[in-house]
Amino acid sequence: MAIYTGKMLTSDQTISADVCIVGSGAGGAVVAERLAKAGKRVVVLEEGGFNPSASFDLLERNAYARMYQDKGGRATADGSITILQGRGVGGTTVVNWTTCFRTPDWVLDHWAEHHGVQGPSSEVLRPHFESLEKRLSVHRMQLSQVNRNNRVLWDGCKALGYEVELLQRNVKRCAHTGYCGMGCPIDAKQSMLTTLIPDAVTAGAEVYANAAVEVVTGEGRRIQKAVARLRDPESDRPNGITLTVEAPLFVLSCGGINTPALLQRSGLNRNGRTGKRTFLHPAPIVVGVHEGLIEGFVGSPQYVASHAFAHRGEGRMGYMLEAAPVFPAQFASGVFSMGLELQSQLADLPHMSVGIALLHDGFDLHSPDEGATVSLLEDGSPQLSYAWSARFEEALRDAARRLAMVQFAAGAKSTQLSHTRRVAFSSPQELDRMDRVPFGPGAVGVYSAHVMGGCAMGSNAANSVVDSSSLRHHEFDNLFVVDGSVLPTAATVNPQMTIYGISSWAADGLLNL
Amino acid sequence: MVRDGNSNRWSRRTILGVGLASGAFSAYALLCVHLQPTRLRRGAASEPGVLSASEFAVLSAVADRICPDLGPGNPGALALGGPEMLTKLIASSSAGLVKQLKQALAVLESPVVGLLTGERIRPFTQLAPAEQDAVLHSFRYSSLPPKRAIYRALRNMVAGYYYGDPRVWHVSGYGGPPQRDLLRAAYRDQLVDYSPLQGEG
Repeated sequence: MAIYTGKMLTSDQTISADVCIVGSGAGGAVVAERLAKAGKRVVVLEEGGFNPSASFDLLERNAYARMYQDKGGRATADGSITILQGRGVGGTTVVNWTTCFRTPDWVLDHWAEHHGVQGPSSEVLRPHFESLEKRLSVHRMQLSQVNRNNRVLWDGCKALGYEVELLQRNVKRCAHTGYCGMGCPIDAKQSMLTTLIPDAVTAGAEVYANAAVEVVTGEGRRIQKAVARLRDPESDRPNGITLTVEAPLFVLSCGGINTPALLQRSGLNRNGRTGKRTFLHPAPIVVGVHEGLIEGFVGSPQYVASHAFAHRGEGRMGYMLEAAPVFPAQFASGVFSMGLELQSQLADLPHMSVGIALLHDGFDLHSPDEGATVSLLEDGSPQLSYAWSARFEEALRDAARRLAMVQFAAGAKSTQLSHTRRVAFSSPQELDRMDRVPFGPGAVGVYSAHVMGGCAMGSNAANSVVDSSSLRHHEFDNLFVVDGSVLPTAATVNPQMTIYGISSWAADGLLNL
Repeated sequence: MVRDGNSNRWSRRTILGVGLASGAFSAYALLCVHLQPTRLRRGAASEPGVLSASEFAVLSAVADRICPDLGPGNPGALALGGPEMLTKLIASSSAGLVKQLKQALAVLESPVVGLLTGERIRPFTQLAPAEQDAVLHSFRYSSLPPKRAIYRALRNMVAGYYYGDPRVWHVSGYGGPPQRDLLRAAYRDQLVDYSPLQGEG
């Protein structure tokens, strides 16, 4: 059918469909495509705008304001963890860094053993991964393509004897410009915006952008309608028009944070688990300043990764090492300095290499409420609080140490952490001081680009939100959650493939209802 | 042991009310903000219905210290229209976030908060630049999570927007993005044509 924007409706409307999908990112787009191709009348409601590649100007501040949650300023309530999360048709897949990993088998086994997950296993997901990897042109990078920023991680890991690999990306004829986070200007990125959303629309789906769903309502065990407030596409302010969708089947795919928030706004949180166990892959960053030019703003954001520290022993949180691109606004907003101090830091930008460690949150079997909790502000918008633990702080410190070691091993002349009070090291020997560096909330800036959990799947209705054999909400017969919020732990790798795979598997079930 | 990063259930939403003092004190602080004259920036323009003139003045003062004029070739946030642009950005944010921001500006401006913490007796906007820097640093290094959060929120917003301005890219040695139109022309065979997919009003 078509993609509509908030200015295309001029009065309140109620429409009906076979299925109403809320959200158009990695979960919603997969389901929309599958169901539309099967002949279902699919309506997709997306709170963000429709931003095709022709509208991408590659300017940081415009991209963050238009295509990220909270204008790029999403953060935990205490401001200690900054969260990059996409907003718009295609969701985060439009602005992610295109890194693709299948869900590790050990993670899927953990879900089955400790969270009673009965559906997605490595066997079940394999054909879905294979099919989607083909559709999304997922392929491995070559060493000759690696930019200097990632080469630091590669060389440093090699020098220290850490396992490191070239990773896979969902791109087709990529120009390696490095602007993935601002939207790919040449549609090389095989995001949901460029692939499954057009496929779904061609098959008959209707996508309404700028349609922020306020609540879903129903009676008994059935949801009957989704009520969306439309926003003006230019100003992104509510325009007073309401779009209501009535359907026999509802799929929530707003992603971590926003799906639990929608359920909470709708009063659907009987067991109190909605919004609990939200995971972020919290990432400390370490900046290495090198003698030569790095130009971390040139070349694709990520080419290599190290899983050397995924398993650090009983009681310790594992993590994964990756690189992060280095752009001026992103860097300036991520550090703590101001005035001349800030400008002095920025002067080194072309010589900076940035390493990050994605911490594997969600695996502490002694902490049922590990990670973050989503709650609502007075106006119904979400806020997030993250539980810091000794285990978490130990992992932050250890990861920072490893990242700094990697930088020095690759030739950095100095390294610095992202702390409220400046912490810098001028030699690897100085890293002994790391044990005395505070890593508590408020002392260090932590970053996230992966929001998972909050509507955990499981077999026990008392401690999960959706049934893991179908992703059906425990309390409603016609309500499903299909997005990253169903993950019972962090994925431990960049999660887009995990979400695609689980969503594709869930779509099979929806087609057989 | 698990510590909540938002111990005492504080949040940006309740920046005023929790951590600094009681709710009654918060109300008093807000009242004082209104009682003390805020020095308005000359020519200040505010997005209608978003920030009051007083709030805009505080935002401007903060922007002027986070990203000050550092001499020829280094215009500050004020010269680049930072507060005006940020106000437009704020205008499309959720009501909850706007309320948080207003509270953050009120706390920063409040002489009562300054008096209580032994830092100052005048509103933020009436302090000399060096004094304003000292106040901002006291928020940055505070042992009170809400004060740190206020600094973090305001600083990140101002600095992120300012250094995203092409007029100061040279400061960071960033040359800007590649020429988008040339790129698109070179890759035109793979561009998605959305025209058949777009609905009509």
